[in-house]
Amino acid sequence: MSLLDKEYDVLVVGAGVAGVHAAYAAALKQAEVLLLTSSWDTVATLAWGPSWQSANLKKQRPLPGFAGKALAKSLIYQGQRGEGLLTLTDSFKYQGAWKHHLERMAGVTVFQDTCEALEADKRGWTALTSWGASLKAKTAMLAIGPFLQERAKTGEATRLEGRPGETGAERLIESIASLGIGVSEDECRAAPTVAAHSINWDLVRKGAAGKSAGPVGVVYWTKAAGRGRIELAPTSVAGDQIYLQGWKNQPLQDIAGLEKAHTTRPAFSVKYLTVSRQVMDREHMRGLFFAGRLAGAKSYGESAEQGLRAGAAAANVSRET
Amino acid sequence: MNDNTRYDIITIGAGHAGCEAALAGARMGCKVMMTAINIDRIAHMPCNPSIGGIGKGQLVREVDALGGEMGRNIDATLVQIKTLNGSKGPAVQALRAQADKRQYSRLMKAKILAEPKIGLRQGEVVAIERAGEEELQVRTADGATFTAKCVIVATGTFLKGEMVIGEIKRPGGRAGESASSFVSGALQRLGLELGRFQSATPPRIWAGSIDATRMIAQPGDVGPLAFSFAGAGRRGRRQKDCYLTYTNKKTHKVIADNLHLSPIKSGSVSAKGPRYCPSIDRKVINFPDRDRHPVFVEPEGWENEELYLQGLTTSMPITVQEKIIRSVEGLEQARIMRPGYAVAYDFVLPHQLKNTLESNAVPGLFAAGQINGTSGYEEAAAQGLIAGINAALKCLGKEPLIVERSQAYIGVLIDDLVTKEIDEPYRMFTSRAEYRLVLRSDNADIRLTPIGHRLGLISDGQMEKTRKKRRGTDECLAKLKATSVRTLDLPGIAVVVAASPAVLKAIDLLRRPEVTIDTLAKIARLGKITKESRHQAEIETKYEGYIKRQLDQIAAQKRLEGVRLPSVDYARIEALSMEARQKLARIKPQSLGQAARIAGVTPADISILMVAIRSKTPAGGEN
Repeated sequence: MSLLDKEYDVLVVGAGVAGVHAAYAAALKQAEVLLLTSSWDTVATLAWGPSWQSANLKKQRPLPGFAGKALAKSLIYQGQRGEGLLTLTDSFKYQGAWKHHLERMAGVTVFQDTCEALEADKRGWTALTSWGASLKAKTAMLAIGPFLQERAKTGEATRLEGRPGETGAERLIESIASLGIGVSEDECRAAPTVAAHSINWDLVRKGAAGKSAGPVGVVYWTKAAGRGRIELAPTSVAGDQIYLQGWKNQPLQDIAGLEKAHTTRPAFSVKYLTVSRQVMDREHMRGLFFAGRLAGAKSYGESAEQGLRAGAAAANVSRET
Repeated sequence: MNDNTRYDIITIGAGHAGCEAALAGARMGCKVMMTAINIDRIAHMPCNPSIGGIGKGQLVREVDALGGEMGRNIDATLVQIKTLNGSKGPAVQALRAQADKRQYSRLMKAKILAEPKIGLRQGEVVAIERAGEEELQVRTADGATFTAKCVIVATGTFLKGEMVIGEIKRPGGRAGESASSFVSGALQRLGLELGRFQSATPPRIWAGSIDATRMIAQPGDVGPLAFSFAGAGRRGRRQKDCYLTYTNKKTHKVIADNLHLSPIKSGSVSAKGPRYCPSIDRKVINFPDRDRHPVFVEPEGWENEELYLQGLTTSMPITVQEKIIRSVEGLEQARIMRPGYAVAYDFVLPHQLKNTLESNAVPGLFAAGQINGTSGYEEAAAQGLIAGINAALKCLGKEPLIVERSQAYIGVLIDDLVTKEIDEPYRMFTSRAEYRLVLRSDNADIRLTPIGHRLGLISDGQMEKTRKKRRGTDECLAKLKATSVRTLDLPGIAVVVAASPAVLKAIDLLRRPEVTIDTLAKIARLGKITKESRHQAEIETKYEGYIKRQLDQIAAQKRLEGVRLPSVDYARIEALSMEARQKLARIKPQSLGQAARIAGVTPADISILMVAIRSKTPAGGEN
């Protein structure tokens, strides 16, 4: 049967952290999952730095099954930081792990295209894609991260970017409005990433040598005059790029060790729309789920947990239909 | 303006051209900034997950011989490697490797991040302007400005990129990635003329949905094979297979029935596409008598279940794409993961560049890669390397590097780009090189490594290795010339040379097609001579006549190549044909040899030019 004619049990729109966990959880429950993404190259992207925090900051519950394995495979460092844990993940490895796992997982079909509209009918949901496909599923889940945005007013150049250089669904906001789903504005910020070779390592401080669960044993940190601690978080095991975890808009020349630092990825912020939690309980929205940043998650851990819950719930609902 | 915003060289774009340019510039001592819209997309392969092939393999070997990075990078990240045309002559043999795309990109990025003289920076360039006498200024979308003596534009297919499937168009340089909206305007304001081309990529399918038993396995070679002269390759390394299958009448019928939906036919893409990498739609239109076309099913990496369908490039609507693919043997159940699509983009008409890849209009502004109207990662890398080298030489106040057609495929590539009218995306072939017996894969190091060493891009160790190879070849030839062989001593060959004299020089025996250097190794005592040197000696002996002829042609042509053309007011040389005057003024050739290659300039025009230069007729001044 054509991949385009098949009716899926669960349609997951978005293959970020929430989306991959949702697809995984739904497939584990024997659902036929279609994972739709604008770019299969950016699956499970960790765009907001390498640090993982669970929904409950004090207790970092390990994620189940492959979700936990993917983190373990890509761990850079895990060590105590005050009352919590600092967990740093190699985004390239994390992405590779999820990409390959979902490509091989029974019940998961991956398709690269952008969802421009989502419509409900008696049977379930239909996603209309920008390249003209009409994909049907019993239940649908939106996990598009920061890619739901206001349409630019007519006349202005339309450039909807959920992350710098990455495009998303220009018209999905119209479907959201037609479904009567309330949205509110939110904003997310990423700190700068600097080249490791441009840091003056003599002027920064060594983190406490505790037990690290990852291959990197020590993470350095520094301070700008007076204000809080900035962890020099490597974004990969090789450590060639350093994310400034805890940065609060200080100019680099005011930070010890970073006076001559070269920025590889400047700080950026993205304004996006989130969907209110109440929506998920409404009766006529049965079969429509939201997870991740779109549903207000503020960390990868929270996105992952929401994805797992929503994926399992969607699989359950699809069996009842 | 502080030190952090002042550079020697800025490269715009971090694709295959941008990476070679930045690495070369930095290794030659310059401070380089590399900008990219997305720094997670460094040296990305948006189309075929492979490096090398006919003509292209030669380019990679040359880039490596000069000190560029592509050869080493693919050697470390390949999934398969083989020699093409192994049964044919050495002039057309080439290496081809399938890459692990993700690893290739990651490794190149690591090298760039490890180079302290390169400042990699994410940002979209929105303006390029002159800034003072000898500087250019680049501004990014976040408002930052940077200045440099040289700017290398290597933006690939991103300029006003627009993707097309069927009748649907969306802005973007690649799937999911924003186009570059402002660089085209910036280049036009600087006085550059742009054209528009179109490229396309085939669908990717899920590996779990093919029937490999119905296709022909295409394994790699046992080896050892390597692109880089600095590497040895590994014999028997783990490799993945490709598969060969064919389209059929059913496929062609699906395409014919749906041609009205193809962007090429319907006219929704008016830009010119590549003749030599055409979509399957175009193949069916152009070759209606062929009842099948080959389709190569290629892996995209080790831990990767996506397969690339070489030969099924299409931008038909998705439902039609699925029908086309499923009509092919072995692909009846294929599941599309990523649809194929076409992308139209602006490019710089390359005749506006010198043969150093610096623009005529703007000193310090270079262009390299697909932006110059080429197609292919290898063509891009070659241009990036030359642009990077010349930008660095300019910053160092030294004479530029001009690679001649007789020296390298790189020379053929650049000369073709800056001399000819490029009306479709340019791809390298061995047939483009008139001296291809001299420009071989096996001797790229002999030809080019001394240059790379002089520039500081090749280590002393590698240079010595190259010298040793040449010495070994000369030693081998000397031994062959000195050794006499009694034909009776070679029982295996005796029958064939039955009509020959009883005693022959080894070198004369080697000229015979059935005799290989391995047969003569023992008797000519070649024991200590390396395989590479022996191989070279063998080729130089077997093809001596042809090689000599090409070397003579090169020498004859050198005279014309050596005549530099000062800036001339061609309009005032009335004896020239009108067409010649227009073309010469447009292309501004650097030498008489280059002028002779311009379409529309006849030998008579060349003679007139020769006279005009010698008698110093009205000229605009010396170069």
